[in-house]
Amino acid sequence: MGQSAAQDSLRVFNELDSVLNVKYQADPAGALTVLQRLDSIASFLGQDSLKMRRIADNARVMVVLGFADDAMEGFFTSLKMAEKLKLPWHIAKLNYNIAIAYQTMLGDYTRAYDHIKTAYNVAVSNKLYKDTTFYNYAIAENMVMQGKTEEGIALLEENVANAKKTNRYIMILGGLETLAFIYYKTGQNERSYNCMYEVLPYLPAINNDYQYLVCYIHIAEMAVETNRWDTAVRYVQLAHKYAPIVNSADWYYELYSQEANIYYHQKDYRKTLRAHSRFSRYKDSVLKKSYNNKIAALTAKYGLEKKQAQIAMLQKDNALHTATVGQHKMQRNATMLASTLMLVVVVTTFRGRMNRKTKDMREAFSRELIRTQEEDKQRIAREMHDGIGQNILFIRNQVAMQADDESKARLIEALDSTIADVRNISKDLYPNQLDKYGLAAAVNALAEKTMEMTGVFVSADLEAIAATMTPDVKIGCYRIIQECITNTVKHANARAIRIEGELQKDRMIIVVKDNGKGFDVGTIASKAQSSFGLLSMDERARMMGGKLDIDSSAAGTIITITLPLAANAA
Amino acid sequence: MQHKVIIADDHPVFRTGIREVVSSIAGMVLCGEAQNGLEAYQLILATLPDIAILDLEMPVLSGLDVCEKVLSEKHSTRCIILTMHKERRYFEDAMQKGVMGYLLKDNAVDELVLCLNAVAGGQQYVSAGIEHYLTAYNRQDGLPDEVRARYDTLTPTEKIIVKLVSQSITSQEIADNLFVSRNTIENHRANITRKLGVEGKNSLLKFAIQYKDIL
Repeated sequence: MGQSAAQDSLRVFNELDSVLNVKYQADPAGALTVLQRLDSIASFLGQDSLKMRRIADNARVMVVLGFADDAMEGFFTSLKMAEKLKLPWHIAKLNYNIAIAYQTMLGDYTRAYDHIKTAYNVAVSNKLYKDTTFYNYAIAENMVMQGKTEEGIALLEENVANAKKTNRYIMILGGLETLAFIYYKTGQNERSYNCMYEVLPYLPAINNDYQYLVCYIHIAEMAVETNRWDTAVRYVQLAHKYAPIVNSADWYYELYSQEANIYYHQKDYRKTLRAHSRFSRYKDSVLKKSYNNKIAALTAKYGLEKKQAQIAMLQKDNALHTATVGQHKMQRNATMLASTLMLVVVVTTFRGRMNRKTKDMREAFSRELIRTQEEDKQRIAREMHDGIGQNILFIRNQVAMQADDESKARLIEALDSTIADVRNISKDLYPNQLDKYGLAAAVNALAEKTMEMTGVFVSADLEAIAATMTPDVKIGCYRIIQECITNTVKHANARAIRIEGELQKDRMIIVVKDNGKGFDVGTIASKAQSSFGLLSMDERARMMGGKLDIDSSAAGTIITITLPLAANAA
Repeated sequence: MQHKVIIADDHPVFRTGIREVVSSIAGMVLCGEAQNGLEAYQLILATLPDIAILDLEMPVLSGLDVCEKVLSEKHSTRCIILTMHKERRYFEDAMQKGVMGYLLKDNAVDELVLCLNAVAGGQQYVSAGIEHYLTAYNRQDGLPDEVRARYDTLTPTEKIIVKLVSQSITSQEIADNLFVSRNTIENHRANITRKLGVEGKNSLLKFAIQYKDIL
């Protein structure tokens, strides 16, 4: 490798890294493809610090996508690397990232506090004074979240005052915005509005489009809260001017919904309607985007693994440079932000900022839900089978012992059908063969039953992997396979389904194929109802530390479940 | 001649029902009850009954565990398994462990007399509704040992193919059902023929049809 090639690559790495800073907020799936390139460069250069940065970046994208586990894992891995490499700036920043993730994604303010403190201490002991103010802001916000509102506000005000003395504009802006958020959160809308208004004079000095946008929308938001309708209209319109720089459906959604709200209060119903119709359009696309993002992200993320050998691509890839040039404007903004604010908090409206936590908690909750549902199902199945079932069987047998009369036959008939119901429900709730005879037997029974009921030919060969499973993995795989079969039978109009298991060195793979008419993953994902099954399959695969890939075309659907063996053994 | 019987079931109410029936049958004498597998095993050792009626799912040791132990220690006690499970897999497992009677709890009372008498007379008994399991199982069991051993070397996929061949399904259709090419199926067929040690034109088809109802 020539010296200049390495320098070139490093430069591209840095440039792409900055592009990423803007991109991962507006377009996380796109960010992952940028990451893929960074990955290639990092392995090409073989520098640990670059690898560390890449892992950290990846974790930041995971924050935006709401994958708390992946984010945390990435942050901690890169933190360990940064500590080993003795890079204080990164150590501080990563601790900060971890703190924010704890705070916004997991609602764990205590842990968040520890990590911000660490970040702060590292910054102080390494004389990274430029950053300490910012950490103080985070500490203050954390205090407020933990109920120490007055202390938090005092700390913030003190730091903002210091920043004003030294004319550090970005810090003034960050502080005032945080303060405004805290006032808003604690119901002091008037103060919040004043804080945002105070930011205005500093904007030209910072001269950053993104900050204009953030500031304008916050002002509009607080103007609405304080019934300053004319001001609200003015600032929403100003915000519109800057919206294209992030060009994200989420932003347009926020803007138009705010606009609709404002015009409604001004009783301008024609404009309300217009804004409303636009906001509805974006609402759909926001939902759709978040699903698509997740799917694209999963594809990209796991695509990464397959492409380790693509280092050679680097020398040839001119497109890389072209892409970088095309991003120059964003890059300028991004570099500036990244170097000063270390902006990793997802910037959104205040309302969004409060909602985000609930959204992420909702996802964690949905996982927990699957887990507890599974436990409940097993428990109910056991109780039905062993308790209710046995009792009904006893009753049936007692009745059978009675002398014949006309009611006996009817009773027996009713009891028999009840017994059959109990059996079926219990089996649906939890296939008891799974514990006793394993996944292969349970799936074979499911296959036979499906063939009998539907006429679709179903065959399975899972012998290769069946021996290696823990109970959790067994039921997880069974449920995914069950969902696949149900979907195929219901929607795909297929003639056959084939299920195969394969054991590789460090993982096992289950493939479920059908020859039905297929479906469009994107379209299905955008329909809340039908996507629920897909999402829950995906969620289950992730719970087992694995992944789920869907490949569907007019010739049929192939669903691949990949599970790590290490996770399974644990 | 009196046959000594013991009952083991962790469900007291159900045990009561069985007790009533057993006591009412001429020629049967109840000589003990147990409420888990271990108690049942100890009871068998202590009383050496002719017949043990064992619930399949019991704490400590399952009915099958007890049956396996008793047989391996060459006691003369014959075991009847009492169960809710209708699935073939459970039945075959029980047969392999040497169970003489497989009684579904659904009609335990109706059938207990028949079952006890059959087992006392050295006959196997399987509940109505799943008797065909026994027919298939015995025919399969009645396969010449050599054929059986060869058949068992087939992979699950190969077994599915033999089954489909026995239903006169063409290679192309088999290929479609299993999502592989026709060539792959032809290769499978060649392998199966070799493994089974059958020879000649249509030998696999002949084999499959000959053993059709036990595949």
